[in-house]
Amino acid sequence: MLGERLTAAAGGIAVTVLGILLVTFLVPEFVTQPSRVPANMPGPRTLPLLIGWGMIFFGTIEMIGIWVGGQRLRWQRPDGIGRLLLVAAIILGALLVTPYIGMLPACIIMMVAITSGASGQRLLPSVVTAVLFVGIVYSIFILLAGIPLPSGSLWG
Amino acid sequence: MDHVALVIQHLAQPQLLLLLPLAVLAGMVIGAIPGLTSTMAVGVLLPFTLFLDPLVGILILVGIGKGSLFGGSISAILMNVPGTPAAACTVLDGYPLARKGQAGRAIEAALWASFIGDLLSVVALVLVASWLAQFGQRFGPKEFFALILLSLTVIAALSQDSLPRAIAGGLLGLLLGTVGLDLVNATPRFTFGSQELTDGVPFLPVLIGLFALPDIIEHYMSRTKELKAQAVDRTRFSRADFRMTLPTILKGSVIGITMGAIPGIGATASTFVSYAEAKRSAPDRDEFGKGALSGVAAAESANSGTKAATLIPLLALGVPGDVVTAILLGAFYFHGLAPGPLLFANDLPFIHALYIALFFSGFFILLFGYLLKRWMTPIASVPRDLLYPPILVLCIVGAYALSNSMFAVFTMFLFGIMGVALRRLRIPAPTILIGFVLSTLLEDNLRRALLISRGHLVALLDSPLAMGLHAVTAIIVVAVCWRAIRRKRVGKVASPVAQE
Repeated sequence: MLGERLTAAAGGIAVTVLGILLVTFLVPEFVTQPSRVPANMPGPRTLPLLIGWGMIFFGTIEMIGIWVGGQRLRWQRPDGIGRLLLVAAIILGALLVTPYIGMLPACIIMMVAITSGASGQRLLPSVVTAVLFVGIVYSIFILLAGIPLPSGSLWG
Repeated sequence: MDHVALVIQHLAQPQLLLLLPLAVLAGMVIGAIPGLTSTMAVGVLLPFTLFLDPLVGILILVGIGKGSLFGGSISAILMNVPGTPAAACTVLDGYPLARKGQAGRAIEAALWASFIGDLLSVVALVLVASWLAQFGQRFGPKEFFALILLSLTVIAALSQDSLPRAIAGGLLGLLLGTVGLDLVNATPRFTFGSQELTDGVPFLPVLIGLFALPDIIEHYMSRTKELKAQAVDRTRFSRADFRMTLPTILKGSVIGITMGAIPGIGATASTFVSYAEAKRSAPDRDEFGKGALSGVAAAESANSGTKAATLIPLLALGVPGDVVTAILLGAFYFHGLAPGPLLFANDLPFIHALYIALFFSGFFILLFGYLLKRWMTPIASVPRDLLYPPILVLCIVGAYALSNSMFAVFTMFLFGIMGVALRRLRIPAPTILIGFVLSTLLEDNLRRALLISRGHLVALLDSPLAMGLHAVTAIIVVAVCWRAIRRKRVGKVASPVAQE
């Protein structure tokens, strides 16, 4: 019961906490105020502080509104978390090998691994699709637009 | 004469002639596939357009947006699933028509309604934008500050049931926009010692992260079933059908144009208003919900009517009305152009070329709609397991290409995770993006106004125009709060415990 009410108010809680963090810690620590800005003049901290106070105000209103209104919410538990983790691992792996094998080969491996490994599609069509698609990307970015993509240190 | 020559020079680019039809076609295909939204398409394809001529790049994005609005009706009619949120009302009568074996007739009705709505919308853009831009020339920092505040409030008020949550989203966007070197003093803000953040949080990774990746993440996170589409038959939208639905199409277009021109309302809300009006007045109103052609025509004319109309506040005042126009504003900035009164004063041939190309892009919708009719069933049925990996590649390459650094790619994935978290917290991502895009403009105008008034806040209200805009903002906030309180009271009478 309490958990469901807290879940419904989670957005308001998150925003209020961020607002408090901004006003008390993030702005004083990470926004440098030049000494030459007079006290009543707007400086680099003006907008972030206004945003921080705004977050506290609206976050609190949201929390109170939900609490008073008695709203409840239950987050659905995802049923494919394993598949998501597998896809995330494939993407991370592809990004990590990019400096060595280049971006486009890494993208081919990533596409094939996700399509046939994580989604269970047949291997050959996955490979063909990946090679063709990355070929199109290569033509547009490197041949037409002349944008260099990482080519990979393994290939010299 | 020089002006005409410049307009022709803008339009006679081979790139434009080739890529604009392709963009409309791509938009239609993307819109037809459930799970791919126009925002996702425009965001993912934005990097490709940045290396083109500004007019071509911007028209490609607009073309994708236009095409996808019609494309959304295809899956609505064939699969009972709106391809885009704006096609939600098309489902109500489009799918029953398809079930009756009249999918071809329904698609052609949607096609003509989209075409007419789109053309009228461009006409409205041409008539209103220049006038509004002239009016906008009277705006100073105070007025612009008031206008941006009003736009953010309207967008927040209309985007969700909870105004505080939507405003919090806008504030989060404004906060993201403050990261980097300060505009005036060049001192670092929230850079945490990172060299990459001194230029601010990059726009494109935020955009792709918030609007493309959450759909992909949620697809892999939950086991969703792929849907089957109805076949497109040989039934046609006859002249008699056209004559019957024309008044509904015209009314829907006017509703779409009016609602599209107001920042924040957008296509989805206008389709519901248009559908409700058609349900009251259309000749086949008794058939509504069971397969009325007027239902399809009302929804489609309204959503297409909003498309060019959303460009009115963007082009004339530099204020985006929805997510797609916020992306377009980013694209304008990337190309070194600032929409607003100055664009009309300094580069009128560009604006006129844009109008002409927008006008003709509507004809491409009609042409491709007829040519692709037979292929729509297989297009709409492409499994998302096959679609999302190529989109991931586009996201990664696009994010990398803009800054030549992997930092942008990792930032994009970070915002993707943040996008999923925001959905869980029910904080609307569109308000974040619009706040982010408008952050610099808002802060610049606020600080200039305060510097001119030597720090006196009251000076923000000393112009009648600014005061009027602030008054409208206040009225909207009060109205939304009043509505929320009334809704809660009614809810309490109906049910002691409100369940979401």
